[in-house]
Amino acid sequence: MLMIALTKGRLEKASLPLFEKNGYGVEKLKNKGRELVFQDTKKDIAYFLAKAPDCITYVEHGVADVGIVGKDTLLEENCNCYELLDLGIGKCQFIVAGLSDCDLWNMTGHIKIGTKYPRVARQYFNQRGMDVEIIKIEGSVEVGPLLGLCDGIVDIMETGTTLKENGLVVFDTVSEISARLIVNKASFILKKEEILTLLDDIKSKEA
Amino acid sequence: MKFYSPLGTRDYVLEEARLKKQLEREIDARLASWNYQEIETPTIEYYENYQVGFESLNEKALYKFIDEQGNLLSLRADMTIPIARVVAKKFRNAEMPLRFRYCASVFKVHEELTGKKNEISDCGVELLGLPKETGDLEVIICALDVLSTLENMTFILELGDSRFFNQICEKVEITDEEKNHLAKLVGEKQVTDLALYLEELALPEDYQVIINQLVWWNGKFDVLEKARKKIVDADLLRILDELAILYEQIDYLGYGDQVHIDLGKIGRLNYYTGIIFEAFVEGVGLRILSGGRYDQLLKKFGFDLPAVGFSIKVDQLLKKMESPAQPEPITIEYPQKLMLEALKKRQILSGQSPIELKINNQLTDIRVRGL
Repeated sequence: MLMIALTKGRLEKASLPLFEKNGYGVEKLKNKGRELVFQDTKKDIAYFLAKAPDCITYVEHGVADVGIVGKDTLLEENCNCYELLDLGIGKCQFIVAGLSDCDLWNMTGHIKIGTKYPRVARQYFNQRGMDVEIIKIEGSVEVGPLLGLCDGIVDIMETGTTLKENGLVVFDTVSEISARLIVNKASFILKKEEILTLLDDIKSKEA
Repeated sequence: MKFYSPLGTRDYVLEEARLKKQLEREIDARLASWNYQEIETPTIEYYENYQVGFESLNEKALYKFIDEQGNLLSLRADMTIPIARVVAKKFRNAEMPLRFRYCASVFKVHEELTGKKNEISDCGVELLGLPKETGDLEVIICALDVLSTLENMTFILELGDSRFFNQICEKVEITDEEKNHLAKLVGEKQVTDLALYLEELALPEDYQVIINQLVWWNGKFDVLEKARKKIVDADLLRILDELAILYEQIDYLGYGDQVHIDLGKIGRLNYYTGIIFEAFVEGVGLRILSGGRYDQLLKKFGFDLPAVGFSIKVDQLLKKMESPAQPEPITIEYPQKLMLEALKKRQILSGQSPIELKINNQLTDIRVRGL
């Protein structure tokens, strides 16, 4: 039996077709009742939904054997698992953005960066050799520069519409992001056959 | 005032404590049966010992404090460094090999609220003074022997060789920084990012293939064959040969089914110098045993000596233990005025079974039950 943790929301919707088209029975996930754990109707697999960082936690502890999580969260959280497949869904980018009149790279004064991803932001600016203050913001990060909380932001961007609507421009791309399939280390050894089959099934569709 | 246990620690009481102690005793008895000798070292070590021992020390993971002379101390983060220190100081003229066993608390600071414990119990061995040809097999079989004596445990021990990755890095001549990053990607089996990074490094095609495959060269014995088909380098082939021989010996001794190979196993960089292994048990997400060969460590403490060892993560294994039946105690009930006689009675009865003293002022005489 494999237990799979799916990231709630956007990734959940994008990942269900991967399972469905490859012979997995995910009907129960599409018509959710009050259940929390959903049995696959064709295979010996169960699914449950969790927030992205929680998916990592469940997989690390081996409560879930497999998880589907965005690379953005994997980069931000310390993940002690294997990352065996790029699912090619949930594609977006980590970007640095700010108001168009801000010359972030040449500022001499104190620089403040607002972000939901402090670790990613810290690493990025360290690599550029820039000394910045990171301010953690939980949501609607675009508002930060508009209202003067920070000079720039590090965030994920899908289409760029929200940024544009708020008058922000992209200064740089930090990295490309997509959904990854992560696997618990013990499960990968003790349930290798099942996990390799799952990988094969989902991968074959992509190719 | 807050009266809680510190962050990342926990209390063990009653049944949990009993189980833990029992498991430690079982493991210890098994290690003793291999004639490993006991060693105890202080709970605190000079921080410097860890700095010297682990080149790539994650300093945040150590508890640090200062003694009255201003020296930096740390809570011991493992038992290997303290044992290396002791051996280098006190066993220079001893007859080799040395065999030590321990059961001790070790301390590592983990990120808050991740469900990981900062104080854990490690039981393990160090075999010092024997090179890989003679030492590796003994230690691996000892590990397998201990795990096999534990009931209801389906386990796999995964075996690799740290030299495999290190040699590859030497052949392709990358910088230390690049090697560190590569080690992270291979160790975490980050398939996609690994492939991208290899292209970025522009390594020779055949080595890109090999390094990408490191992620998948794991499983039963036949992965060694798979790897051999892709490899021409004589040094790498020799490592595969050595692993094959080791596996055959393990198989001959009856543990073939419990051992897998993982050529992508990295372990702590600049520390392990040969075999590395980890064991996993069904139903426990984290490793329950880890070990390997570290022939360069003792030299850092001034005594050049090959060494190999492993430690068992008792707290992880506990999740799989079933609670043992506890013997019913004998009870001595007595009215308060007969307390002295009751304790005398206890002295007489004292033996195998636990004895519980109970005051009962309704009684006129001492009553013993459960004899």
